[in-house]
Amino acid sequence: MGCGNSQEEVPKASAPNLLEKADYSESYIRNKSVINRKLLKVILLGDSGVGKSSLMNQYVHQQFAAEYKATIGADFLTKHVMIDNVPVTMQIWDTAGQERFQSLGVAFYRGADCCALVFDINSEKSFDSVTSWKEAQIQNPHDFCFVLLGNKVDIENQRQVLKIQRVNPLMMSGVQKESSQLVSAKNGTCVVDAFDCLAATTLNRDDLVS
Amino acid sequence: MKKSLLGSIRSFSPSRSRPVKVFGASFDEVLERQGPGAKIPAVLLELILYVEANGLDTEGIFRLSGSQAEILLLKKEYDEGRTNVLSKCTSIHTASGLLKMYLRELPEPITLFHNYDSFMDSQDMPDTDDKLQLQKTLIENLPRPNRITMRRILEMLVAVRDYQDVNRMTSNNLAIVFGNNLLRSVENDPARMLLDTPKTNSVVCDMIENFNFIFGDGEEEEEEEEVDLKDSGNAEENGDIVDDNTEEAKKKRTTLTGSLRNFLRRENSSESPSSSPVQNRKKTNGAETMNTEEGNKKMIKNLMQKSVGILFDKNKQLDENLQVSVFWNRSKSTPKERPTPLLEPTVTPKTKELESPSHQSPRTSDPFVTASRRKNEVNDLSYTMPAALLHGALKANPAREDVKLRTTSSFGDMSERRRSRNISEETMEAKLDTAMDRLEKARRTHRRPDRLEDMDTHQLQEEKTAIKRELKAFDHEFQKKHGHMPAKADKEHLRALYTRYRDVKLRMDEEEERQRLNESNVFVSRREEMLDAKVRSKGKMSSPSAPSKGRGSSKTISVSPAVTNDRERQHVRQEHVERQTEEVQNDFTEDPSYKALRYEKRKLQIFLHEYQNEFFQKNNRKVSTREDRQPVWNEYDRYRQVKQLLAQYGDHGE
Repeated sequence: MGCGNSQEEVPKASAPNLLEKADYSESYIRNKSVINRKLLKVILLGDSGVGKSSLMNQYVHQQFAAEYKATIGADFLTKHVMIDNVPVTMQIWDTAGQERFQSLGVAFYRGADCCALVFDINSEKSFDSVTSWKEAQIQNPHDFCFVLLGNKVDIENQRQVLKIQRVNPLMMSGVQKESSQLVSAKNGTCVVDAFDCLAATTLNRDDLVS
Repeated sequence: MKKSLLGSIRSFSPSRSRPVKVFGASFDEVLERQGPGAKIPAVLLELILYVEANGLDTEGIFRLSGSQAEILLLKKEYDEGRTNVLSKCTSIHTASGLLKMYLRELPEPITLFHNYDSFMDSQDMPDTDDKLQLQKTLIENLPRPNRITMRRILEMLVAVRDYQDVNRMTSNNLAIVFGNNLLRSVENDPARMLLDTPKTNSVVCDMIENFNFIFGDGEEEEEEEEVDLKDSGNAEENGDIVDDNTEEAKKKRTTLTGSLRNFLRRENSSESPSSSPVQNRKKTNGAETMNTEEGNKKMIKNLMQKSVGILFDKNKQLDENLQVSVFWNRSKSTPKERPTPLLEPTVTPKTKELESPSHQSPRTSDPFVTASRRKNEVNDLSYTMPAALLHGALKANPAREDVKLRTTSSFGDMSERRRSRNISEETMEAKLDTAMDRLEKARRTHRRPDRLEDMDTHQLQEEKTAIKRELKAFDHEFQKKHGHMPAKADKEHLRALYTRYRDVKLRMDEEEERQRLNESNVFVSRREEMLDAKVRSKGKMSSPSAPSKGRGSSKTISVSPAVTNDRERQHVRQEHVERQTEEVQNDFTEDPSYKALRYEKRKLQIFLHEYQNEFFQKNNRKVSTREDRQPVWNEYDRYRQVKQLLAQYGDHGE
């Protein structure tokens, strides 16, 4: 699958800034037309501290901030990519893992196409709560494409969750196992891959549905 | 009596299982159940101690979530009244999660709903000292158990913060996690919550960082606790609100330092239980004058003038108990109805006297002018002082007796007068006057000009909020008194206030429009052309009846048919703006999607301009061909699209 190296960043929902770093590759422009572009809304869910914000930042900015900071409410970034020669705008919503923000959840999840359930492979607990995230936050699980992302693969010695395949199939119905990956937001392992894969799966699924 | 008995039985046999909820139960309920002398809910204290003992060096303590299943299990055990629940706790994150959950599920947050707005307001204060002082005052005015609990929680947070090198939880991080758990608005609206989140966070952050300032140096609370144990049994036996007050008052008094405390103890012991708190308070004041110390008077005056502006909206109908005691009293019989400490009336004898002549004369003059005139006549500090606030300030500095004596004595006066005067006699006009007074005062404290046209957007916004508060306060009071919302006729007396409100709003719209016009000059010029054309086509425009728009907004505009010079052009624009604000409903410019489109267009325009300039610098020629535009083709495309869409709105800007 081809993946565009182009990107555009929109830092905040409140102030979309079109002027920042608009750098379109030629191949992309040839396929131009904003209207034909598909919009893919991806939400990142998971316990606090598993690295949702870091994953998003790594994917969009190729950066890893050492800063340790809880997310307030929700935040989103967009990135333009080519998935199977289709220009796609990925809108990635980073949600707050804090319980107190969960009441806001539904508002953010509206209209989402895909949901990436993030957990920390060094924390069994974060893996266990993936199910509750899926069930509690998503009202119509069938409308969503679920993907599991096991983060912090760079930490070797404390690994608690060894294989995603261990997933209980009943609990995790609807999860695209083949698209689920172990990633590292810190050194970028598989991050781009995982997101592209996720986008492709979602698009394919949509095609099948419609 | 019954309650205290039950309470003591329970405290003797804590292991007995009781099918009562702990999570989600109100603060008062839990404390009452715990028996006399309870200050912090047992669950909370247990969790705090657990976290302090085990979690300070855990990375991401409070941030990382515990196992949901375990949290729910332990919660259930607590609700079933089990003891030793935390021994089953396998992870520190479960305990911290439970703690957060407990706070989150309180029906009313520890800081109480009615303080929410004031806490939010504190974040708007430009001066850090003022901000912290206000927070301190708000905390000090909390009911005692709330205050102590709040203190305990923050003590823990400070401890966590002190280990931030290990646990990585900075005060900012802790504030994000605890913000809404400690501060919540009554309507529980997610959108509002999201908007206010930065503010709630910074309030909590302030509290952590300035713990010593906001919560005092800690000794007094400890000592208070001792006294509390002694007194509380007494109060329980009497079970009377007034005596409860006395108890409360005693507690407060014990916070005074040094020899004064001993003196007061003697005073207390000599009091008969039935003596009214007013008398008690007077005695106290008498006592305090013995240690009179001049000098801090000015400081406190400043402080109060600053704070009054923010607190004035909390005005509420006087009720006897509230009048008698400046402290919030924990009324056992009606735990839901909390008279709030900040709801002190700001109407005092002096204002009353001043109002009376204006009652007789028909009210034709501008109420604002009268209000300010009055203010100049009597610029006395003691006449609109929320006593609770005053007390809070005094508690911080017990050496300021002089002011206290003055104010409290007028306070006592007032309650007597109030009693002799039938409350229902208080006319609406008096209310209007006091409202105007407060607005005036607020303007002064925030250095807002009196005239609307001198205000900038921010000040207008503040003014608008202030008036709105007044109106809401009136509605609230009315509803409390009559059991229904005021009808239009009931509001008739407040017409001046409503007019003012409308004026402010009009001014704001005007400002906004002007800013928008300034924003895009190109757009303006085009717009002016259109306007000119309109004016011309209309021929002679009738001279607008601007003055009728009310005082405050200066719209004395006369438009001559031939619009030639810039000055007149400006007038036309204003006139247009005015017309627009009048026809808000059917004007497409108010359509949000239109606004969004225009915003987008503007952004794209800037972007394309930048590209053009860049291109010119690089290639030394203008952008002309399709190839030249290729790098920005998307934007260009979209720009044209947006323009087309805008054209559908009948807008031909540029």
